[in-house]
Amino acid sequence: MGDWMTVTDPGLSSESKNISQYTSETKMSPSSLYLQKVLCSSIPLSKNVHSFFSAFCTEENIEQSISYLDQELTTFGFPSLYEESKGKETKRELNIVAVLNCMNELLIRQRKNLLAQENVETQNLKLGSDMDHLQSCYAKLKEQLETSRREMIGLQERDRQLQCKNRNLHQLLKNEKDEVQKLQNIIASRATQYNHDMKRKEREYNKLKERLHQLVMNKKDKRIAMEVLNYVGRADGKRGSWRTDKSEARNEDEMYKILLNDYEYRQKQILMENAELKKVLQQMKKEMISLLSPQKQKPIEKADDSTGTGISDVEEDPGELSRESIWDLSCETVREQLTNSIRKQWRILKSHVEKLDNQVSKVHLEGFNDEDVISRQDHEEETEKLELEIQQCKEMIKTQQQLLQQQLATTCDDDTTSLLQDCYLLEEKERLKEEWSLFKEQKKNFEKERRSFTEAAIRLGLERKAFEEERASWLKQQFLNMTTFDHQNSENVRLFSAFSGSSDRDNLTVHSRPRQKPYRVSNGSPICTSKLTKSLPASPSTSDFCQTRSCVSEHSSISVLNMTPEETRPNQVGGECANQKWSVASRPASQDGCCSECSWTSTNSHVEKDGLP
Amino acid sequence: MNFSEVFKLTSQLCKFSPDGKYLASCAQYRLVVREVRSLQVLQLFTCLDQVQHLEWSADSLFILCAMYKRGLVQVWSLEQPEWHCRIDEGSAGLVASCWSPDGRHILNTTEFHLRITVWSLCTKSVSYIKYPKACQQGISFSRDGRYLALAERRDCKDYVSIFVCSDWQLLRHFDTDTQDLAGIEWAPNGCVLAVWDTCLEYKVLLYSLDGRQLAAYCAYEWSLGVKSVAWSPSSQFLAVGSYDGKVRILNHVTWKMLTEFAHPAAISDPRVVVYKEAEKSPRGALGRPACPSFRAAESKYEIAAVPVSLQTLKPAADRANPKIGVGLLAFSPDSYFLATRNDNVPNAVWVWDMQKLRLFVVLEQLGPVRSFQWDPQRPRLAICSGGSKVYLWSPAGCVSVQVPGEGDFQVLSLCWHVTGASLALLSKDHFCLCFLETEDEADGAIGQLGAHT
Repeated sequence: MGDWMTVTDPGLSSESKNISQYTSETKMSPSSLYLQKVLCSSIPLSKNVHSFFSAFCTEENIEQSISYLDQELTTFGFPSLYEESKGKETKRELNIVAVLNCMNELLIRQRKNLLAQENVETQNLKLGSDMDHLQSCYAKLKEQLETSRREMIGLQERDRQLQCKNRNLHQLLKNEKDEVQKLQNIIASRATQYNHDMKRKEREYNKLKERLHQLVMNKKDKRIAMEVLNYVGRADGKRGSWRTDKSEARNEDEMYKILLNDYEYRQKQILMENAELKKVLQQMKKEMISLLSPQKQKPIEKADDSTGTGISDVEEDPGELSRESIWDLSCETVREQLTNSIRKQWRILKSHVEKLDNQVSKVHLEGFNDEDVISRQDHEEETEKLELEIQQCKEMIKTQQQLLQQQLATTCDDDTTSLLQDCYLLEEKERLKEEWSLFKEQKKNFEKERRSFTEAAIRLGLERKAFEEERASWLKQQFLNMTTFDHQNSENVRLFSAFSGSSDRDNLTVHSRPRQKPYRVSNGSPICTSKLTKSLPASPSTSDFCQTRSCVSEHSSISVLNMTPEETRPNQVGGECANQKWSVASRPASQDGCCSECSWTSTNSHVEKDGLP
Repeated sequence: MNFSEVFKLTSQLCKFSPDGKYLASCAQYRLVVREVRSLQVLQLFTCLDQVQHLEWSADSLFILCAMYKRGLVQVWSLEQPEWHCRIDEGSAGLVASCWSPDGRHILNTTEFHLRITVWSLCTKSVSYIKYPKACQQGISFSRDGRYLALAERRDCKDYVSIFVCSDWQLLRHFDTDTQDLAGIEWAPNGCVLAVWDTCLEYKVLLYSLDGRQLAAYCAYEWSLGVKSVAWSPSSQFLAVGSYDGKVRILNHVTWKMLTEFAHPAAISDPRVVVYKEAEKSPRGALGRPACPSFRAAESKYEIAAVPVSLQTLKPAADRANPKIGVGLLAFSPDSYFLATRNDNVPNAVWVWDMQKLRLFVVLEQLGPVRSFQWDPQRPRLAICSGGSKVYLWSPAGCVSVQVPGEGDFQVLSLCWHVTGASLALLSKDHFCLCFLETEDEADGAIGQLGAHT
């Protein structure tokens, strides 16, 4: 296929492009596409081919163009356009069949090609749109990439700046630290220097002071004096005492006494505090024990076991030493005992409290309702009341439902009945439909039967005809054999009447008015019959037949009459047959049928008589 | 609350006698002694020069008037008005003079702190103590009057000498581990001596009476240190106010810090009550045109909603003695409260609850707090801020009281009567007494004080 496409004539390809355009533009269902394509390809081709190919092939270069085409086609693997040459000299004949085949092939290929092209083009379109989409996507992504890159660059820049700042800050911090260090060093150095200077200055100052002191004090300044009216007594009333070692010692003693007093005071305070604390501890312990022991006998024992028996043993036998005496002992063992036991108890209490807390929290989680405490009895009463109410409500609902149903039954009866009737009608309709179809089928069957009957009747008619012909011939012969009566109708009539049964009266009436009308006459006039017999071999004309038929129709039933047009029209050729059948059908309807048959025969004969002249 | 008439005064020299019966005040060179109850002039003494220092002896029998310029001390007896005593320090000069606790000796510090002369009123004996240190608080008598602790400086080292006041015998002499000792203070029980270093270094040392160092405490280094120190009356706490704006409370058992009270400018603790002084009505209200006085607008306290920021002062960093840090500290007599002033929040007084060890109340005044003093008998704090009002705080509430009188009476200082029944308010050259209701009336009166003018 690819090869094919590559080698195609540019002109042709353009042409095919045209066509493809046509086809591609006409959007139709695939089934109709084929037809359309054919049309399209055929119509414009027929137009363009001429104009286009005229350049290629003219009257003069038919041969060359053919050969050229042949060559071209053979190169493409087509069979040669020429017939198999018998000889080299002989001019090769153009093989029309081959040409046609080639053309056909070419056309098929063209079509295929067009199809393929179309496919390719649609694909191309699709791909083009895909491409567009992808390109737009690409552009968008590129934009995104660009923006994110810019963002990234911005962030990097910020990061860099922050890092820079951080570095700067670090540097600053370091600088500050250095500064602080430096300042501290400076302070320290300054402090030392200051101290040094101070010391120096102070020494100088002291020297000066000393000098001043000497100067001022040694001069025995007269002004430095106290003028007092009279010395007053000491506040305590005692006389001043001389400074002696004794007094010094006394002062020391006093000082120590004071200190001792202070310490004693403080010790007393501390002791009091201790005692109070011990009391508190003791009380706490007692309370703890009393609180914990009834509930938590086992844990205590366990704890005792675990923490060591020594202490608990001491604890357990309080009878030997009274509690107070224990507390008065401020020795370490007792203290340890106390603190240990307290700690232990405390631990137990703590765990207990924690457990309680947990329980409480659990309870809280389970239901907040416990907060608003309602007594159980109240609760139950309330629930009972509520249940009762519910029951009442249910009953009410039930009664109302019943009432509603009743109301519906009474008020909406008509509607329902109509509805029901509708239902029934529908049902009936269905039923009727069914019946209808059944009837139809039956009708069909009947018709079939009728057809078969008619066929049978036709056959019977034919047979009868044959038989009658036979009889006629036989009668003729007999007639001929018998005495030759010229126009002795009476006998003939008698024969007829004897043959046709009871038609005496008719015959009589007809006889009274002969030749009034052809069909009147046909009503069983003996004259006709006689004539009929004479002109039997002649073929009856259609008009006559119609006449006869119409006349017969008077006697026949309506139903039969209705059918006649249907029967007669298609069987125009076989008029006799129709008549036969007709007569057969009417036969059971009345006795006149026989008579009519008779009349038919008579008319026939009559017609022949009419036609003959 | 009643106010006395206004009396003349110089140099804010006005003192109640320790027994609470008399009131001594100096106007120029005159010493006036009045009976507190009647304010009748009891005695009038004329000194040789303008008095610069006035001090009652502990037994309320003698009054010391020091005239530093002249190097003179005059002592007057209340019992014997004709009795007189004059001490002349001569060329040695005089910078400080004080009574010994027994009321029979006068300690005069000469110029340049060359020595302290101990003059006795009983005998002719004169004692000299050499090398006293020139410092913020170099002399401290124990409360029972038994001992004198004296800071000394010898050979560039600090020493403390403890003398027995009865015979001025040196009991202990020990060097202290300080760079430049700034102050000493006996605990009220007289057994522990607190010693603190100069403001350049944070150091508090505690010495026993027998000279043993009990503890040393240093909160931080390389910054200005201790600014003020106060013992609680129970000797249980030592409050140390420092230049970092905090008060650190040391306990008396381990001498370690119990807690520290910071003085933030913003108070956010909802438990703290902040009383804010507010002007009651604008000056020159039209409703009172007849009022002739030029009194400043009355003020009242309002309770501020808790997130409060106090006015702060930016200290001048390039000057000596910057206005930062806790400069004033005072325990209430029952040791339950501690009042402080942070010098860079000059308008506020902070009252701390020492039982709960937390801030209790903050009083923000309209002006800078000049001084405050606890009622010696009950937890009641009197505050003055240089205006014409005196402020009282008690746990029940606080009031601002306008000092009546003509002209502006600017209360620069105040001192309580020993019973807490009256309060001397001192302005630049006047003083008046403020009589408070007796105890049974006090509670009701405090509630009415707002309405009272």
